[in-house]
Amino acid sequence: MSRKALIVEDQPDIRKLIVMTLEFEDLELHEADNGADGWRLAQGLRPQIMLLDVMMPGELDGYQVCRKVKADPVLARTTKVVLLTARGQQADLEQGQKAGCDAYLTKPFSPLELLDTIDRLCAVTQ
Amino acid sequence: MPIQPSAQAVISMLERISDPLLVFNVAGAVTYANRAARQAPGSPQTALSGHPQVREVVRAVALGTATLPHHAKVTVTTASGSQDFNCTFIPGLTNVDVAVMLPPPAAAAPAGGGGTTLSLSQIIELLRSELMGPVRELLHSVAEIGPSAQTEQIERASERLNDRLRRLIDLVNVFGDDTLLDDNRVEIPAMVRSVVAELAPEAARQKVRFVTNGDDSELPPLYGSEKLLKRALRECLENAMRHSRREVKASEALLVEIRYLSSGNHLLLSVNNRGASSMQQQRARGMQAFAADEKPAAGGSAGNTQGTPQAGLRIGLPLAKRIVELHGGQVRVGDPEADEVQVLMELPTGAPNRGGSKLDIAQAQKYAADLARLMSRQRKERA
Repeated sequence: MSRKALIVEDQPDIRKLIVMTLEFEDLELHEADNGADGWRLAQGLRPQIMLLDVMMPGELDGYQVCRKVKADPVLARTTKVVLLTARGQQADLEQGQKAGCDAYLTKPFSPLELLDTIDRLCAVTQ
Repeated sequence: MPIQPSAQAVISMLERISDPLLVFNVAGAVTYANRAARQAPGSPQTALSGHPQVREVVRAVALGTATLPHHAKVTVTTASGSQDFNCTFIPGLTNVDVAVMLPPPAAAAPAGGGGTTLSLSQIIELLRSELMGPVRELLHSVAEIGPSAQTEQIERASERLNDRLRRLIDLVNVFGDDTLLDDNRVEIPAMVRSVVAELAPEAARQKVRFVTNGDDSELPPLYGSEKLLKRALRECLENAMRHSRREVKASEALLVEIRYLSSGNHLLLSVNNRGASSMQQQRARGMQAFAADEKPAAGGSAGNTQGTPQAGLRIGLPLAKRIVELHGGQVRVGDPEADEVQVLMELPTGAPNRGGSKLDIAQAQKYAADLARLMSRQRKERA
């Protein structure tokens, strides 16, 4: 059975690029373009991997969604969160760690690095 | 053509890049132009294809005598005149081609050269550099004279002048053509606490107490300029503090309430004067004074208002409004007859909507660089 991946990213072009990258793997892909929808989808799907943009318009940004996932007793066990963001300052990384993310990749991201990160995190979950 | 049909995904990606991009083969001929390049003025894909200057750079790159990125101005001369293209040569999609990125049309240098006129922001910058030094010098000299009633007065006047200058600079910064906002992640409760702490000494002198009221835990963040948002809040709080003080006896303590709450995709931040609660009429006068900051003082010239607190405040509210508007929000000033809200800031939460933005060249290059390795890895896995 293929693993589920949820991509939460507000920029359609970047989302498409992530989809194109993840299509190289055996993953069932789901998408959301804002944090609130991403959080709702995550609760229903319980994906193995969640790729989260940090800066998104609306009620919840990536850090907040990540915190919610990690505070949820079910999702905290099933879902690995990768924050994917243009914010690469040390303070941003620390904020990501505080939110409980499992990996933090900065944009422009390397598709190879993204796939390797996903493989590594999924291997830990299995 | 160096771009293989199997790399259709890459082409679709390059089409989305907002900067004009051309790909040249080793002979210096254009093999690909993205949509932005095809639509760029001066038809760079035709004008630059096979151009001797481009050929020379491509050859130098192939021979290893030029390193990338390489910047060059390429002049194309035709029967109708000559045109300059500011080219940035970058690695192509394969090992045998070179890409050229051109600045987007809006970023191109203005025709005619310019350089002899000053923009408003340059004038203000000039004023700042000319005036800040003497003001600091004055403050320093006053400090050296030693304390007296007169020196304290001069010191206060200098500080006011300094403060007005800083406000003017911020005003120009946010009204300028080239206003660029940061994308700081701003948590409103922390920002309110910080501004209240900054104003605490002045508030204590004026017997004004700030109280905050809001749910800190689930409040969404704002993205923008922390410095400017702080400035907007500070202006609102200073306004509230000074106007409420004017309406109530100096011996009476005053209360200014700051409330924040989340409402859908917006964050509402209100500043209310809670002064002498029994003085309905006085509160109404306070509101009028606040609202009047939006208009020039009636019948007042710069000369007769210079020493009053209102003179500085006239910068304050338009500045706060502009800052909030730049962040996609709005400021509403309460009805003077109403009981409650004096100033309400409504700001969109989260990052600005970037739905229509284009993919940047750095991301496209990274993807293109990894694509071949990804495909080869996939082939190996299948085998």
